[in-house]
Amino acid sequence: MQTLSNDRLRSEWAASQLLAKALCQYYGQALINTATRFSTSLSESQYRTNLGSCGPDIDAIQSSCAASCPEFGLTAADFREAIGAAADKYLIGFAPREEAPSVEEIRDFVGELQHSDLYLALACERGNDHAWQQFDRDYRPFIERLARHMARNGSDADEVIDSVYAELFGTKIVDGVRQSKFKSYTGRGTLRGWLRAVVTNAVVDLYRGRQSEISLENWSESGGETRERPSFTTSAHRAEETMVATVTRERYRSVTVSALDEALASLDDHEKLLLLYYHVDGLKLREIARIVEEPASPIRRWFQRRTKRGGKAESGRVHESTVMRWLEKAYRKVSDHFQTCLGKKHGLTAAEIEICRGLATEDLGQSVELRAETESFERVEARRSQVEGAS
Amino acid sequence: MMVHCRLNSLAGVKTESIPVASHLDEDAMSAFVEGQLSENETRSIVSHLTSCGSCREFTARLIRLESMFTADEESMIVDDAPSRLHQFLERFASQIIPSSGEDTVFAYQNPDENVEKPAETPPDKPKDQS
Repeated sequence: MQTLSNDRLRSEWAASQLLAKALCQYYGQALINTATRFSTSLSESQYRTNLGSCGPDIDAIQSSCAASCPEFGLTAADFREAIGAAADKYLIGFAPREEAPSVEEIRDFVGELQHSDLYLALACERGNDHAWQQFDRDYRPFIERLARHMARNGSDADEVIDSVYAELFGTKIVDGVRQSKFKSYTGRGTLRGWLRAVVTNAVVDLYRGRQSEISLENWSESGGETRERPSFTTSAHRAEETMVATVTRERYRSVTVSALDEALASLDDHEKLLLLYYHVDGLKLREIARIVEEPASPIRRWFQRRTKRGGKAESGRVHESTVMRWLEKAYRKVSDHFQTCLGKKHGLTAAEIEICRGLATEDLGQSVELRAETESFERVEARRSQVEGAS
Repeated sequence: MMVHCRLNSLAGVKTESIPVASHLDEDAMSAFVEGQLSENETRSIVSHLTSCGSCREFTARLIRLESMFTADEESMIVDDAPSRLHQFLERFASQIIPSSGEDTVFAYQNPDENVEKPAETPPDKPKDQS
C-alpha cells in the first residue's frame, strides 16, 4: 500500500489508511489501493469539502434507518464515517482523477449505496445484539445454503459456517478494537452479494488449507458445460506441442504467437474480459449475460456503443445470443488485427498468413475461425449450441 | 489450442506480477458482479480483472453462484406461488362453496343465497390472508 505523508492528510484519512493496512494484515488478503490519487492536496481538500456538503443528505438517510431500527444504537457520526470510507474507496480509490468529485457526484454515489444493509452491518460490527439477531434471522439460512452447496460434505460446511461467523464477529483484537469482517462492507453492493463472496472465500481457504484444490475444481455450480470444455492448462499445451512438431510449422509458430498476442492486446479491456470469462474461466453465455443484465451496466453500454454504430442499441434483457454476438465481434477484431500484423509488421505473404491462421485456429474448431470474412453468427451460434447442448 | 493457451498464459503471467496488496476485496468483487458500480469504477475493475487471474476466477465463481442461486430462488417462488394461490382459492372457495360433501346440498340452495354469500365474505378475507 502506498505510503502517504502525514502532513498531506487529515487525521481521519490517516486513520482509515492504518485501518486498511490492519485489515490487510489481519485477513491475509488484499484490499485495493485506496490511497488518494489526487494530483494535488487542493483537490483532496475540495473533495473533503464536497463530502461535507453532503452531510445533511447522509444524516437524513441515517435518520430514516434509525427510525426503522432504533434499537441498533448507531449515531449519525458512525454512519457518516462509514459513508465517507465508502466514498474514499470507490470515488477516489477506483477512479484516478484530476479533480475532486462534485457535490452532485458524491450525492448520487451516497444515494446508490445499500443503506439498510450498511446500517445493519455497521450495527453488527459494533456488536449490537438486536442487529445480530436480525442478521441471524435474515441471513443465516442463506449462509448455510451457500456453504452446504459449496462444501464437499456437511462437516466441511459446518466448519465454513463457523469460520464465517467467527470472521464476521471478529475474534482478533487490534489496539483494543475487535476486528469484525463487517468493517470491510461498504454498502456499494448488497449485503447478500458480499456474504456470497465471504462464504466463497471461506470455502476456498478451507480447501486451500488442506491442499485439496481438486474439490474446488469439482464444484457443481458450474454445471456440465465447463467440465466439457478443454483443460487449457494441460491438454492445451500438449496439443500445442503436437501442433508445432513439424519444422515448417515451428518456423511460423513464434510469429503466429507474437501476432496473436498483439491482436489480443488490441482489444478493449471489456472485450478481453469477455473472452477470458468465456474461454479461460468457462462461464456460460447465460452466466455472462447476467452481469450485464442491468440496462445501466457500464459493460453493456460499452458493447452496445459499438452496436449503435451498425444498428439500434438493445434495451431489454441481454440474451445469450447477444453475448455470442459480442464474442463474435471480439473474434473478428482479433482476426483483423492478426492478419494486418502478419502482413504489415512481419511481411508475410498471403500463403504464409494462411499457414499462421491455420496454426492459430486449430483450437477454435468448435467455436469460431479467425477468417478475414468472419462466418455468419447463425453458424457460430449453431455450433456453440451443439457444444452446450451436448454437455 | 493456441488462442486458449495465449489467453490463459497471458493472464497467468500478469497475475504473478501483481502485488498482493493490489487485489480486489470481496466488497468490490461482489459489487462488480451485481452490476452496482459506476462507469469509472467498472473500468478500473475490468482493467484489473483482465490481468489478474485469481480475482477474475473468483468473480467467475461469484457469477456462477449468483446465476444459480437466483435461478433457484426464482424457481422456488414459482413453485411456491401456485401453492399459496391454491390455498387462497381453496379458502375462498370454502367460504362460497360448501365442502364436496355438501355439494349436493348446494345444488338445491336458493340461488339468491349464493349471490349474498360472496358479498359478505370480502371484509374478512384480508384478515384470513394475513
